[in-house]
Amino acid sequence: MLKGILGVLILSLLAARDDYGYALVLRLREAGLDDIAEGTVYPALTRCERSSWLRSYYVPSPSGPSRKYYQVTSDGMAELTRALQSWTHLSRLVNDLSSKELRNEP
Amino acid sequence: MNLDINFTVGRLAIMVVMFLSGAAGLTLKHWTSGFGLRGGMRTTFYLTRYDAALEFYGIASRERRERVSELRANLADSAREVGLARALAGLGPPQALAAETSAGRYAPSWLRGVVWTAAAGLIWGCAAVLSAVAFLDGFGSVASPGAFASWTAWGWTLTATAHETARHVSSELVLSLLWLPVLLIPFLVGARVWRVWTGQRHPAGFSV
Repeated sequence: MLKGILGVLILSLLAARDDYGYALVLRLREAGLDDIAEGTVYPALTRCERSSWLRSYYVPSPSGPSRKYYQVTSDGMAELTRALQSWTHLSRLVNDLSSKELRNEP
Repeated sequence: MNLDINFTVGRLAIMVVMFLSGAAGLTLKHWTSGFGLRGGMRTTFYLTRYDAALEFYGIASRERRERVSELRANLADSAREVGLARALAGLGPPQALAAETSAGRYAPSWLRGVVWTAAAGLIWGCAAVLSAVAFLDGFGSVASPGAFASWTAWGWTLTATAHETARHVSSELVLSLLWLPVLLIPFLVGARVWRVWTGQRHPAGFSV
């Protein structure tokens, strides 16, 4: 499930501010995904870029190789909106169903 | 065609040295500085395997260079923070990372087809030349002046004639059409040409 929603989380974070791979991992961890691995995030970034939801540019790093920054495209914003609506709908459905089931328990 | 054995063996030796130099160069192109010798070797080893795995999935060389370069930069950042061992552990096996990176894409790899063809040609050429050397050597040692022998193997037909001047042997080489499958099959298998028809799958969007 995380794999399915990870792209949405990445687009959400990048919609707020452009960033590079490892910084995004740190932001996801700060947001509460403590155990998320770099090996999960980087391929998700690649998939988003390949789908034209992200564009990238390089910024020289003072401490090592140039960093590849990502920016959300208009296609990415449209996909984010669609995916968030879908998530909201699913989340409401799960809440409704689970609360009904809890109420019906003896 | 007269076969000059020393010249041919020398040329083969140069080809082998060039091949090995190329292989070493391919490995060293991922050398990463800033991690010390041991760390540099570990990082280089990881990035080389990642590059090879991306190549397996048919990712084009330009995109591979970009992915490897991006990973190197991210690795440098995370290693500074948590140490190289944990940074590498966070990435998981390079093959799995490459599989995730190229998810949905299995494109043919024409470059690998060329490499496989070159390797097959080299092995075939070495085997043929060594066999020819053995044949000519044997013929030269037993043939009487004016003797004639023909020998076919590896798709080559070698005809040798012993001359009046005892040890002088002239030879003629004819190549059969066997070279075609010997080079074509490794190319098609190496490039995984069937992926042209079966390999492209793109994810349409997020599934929640």
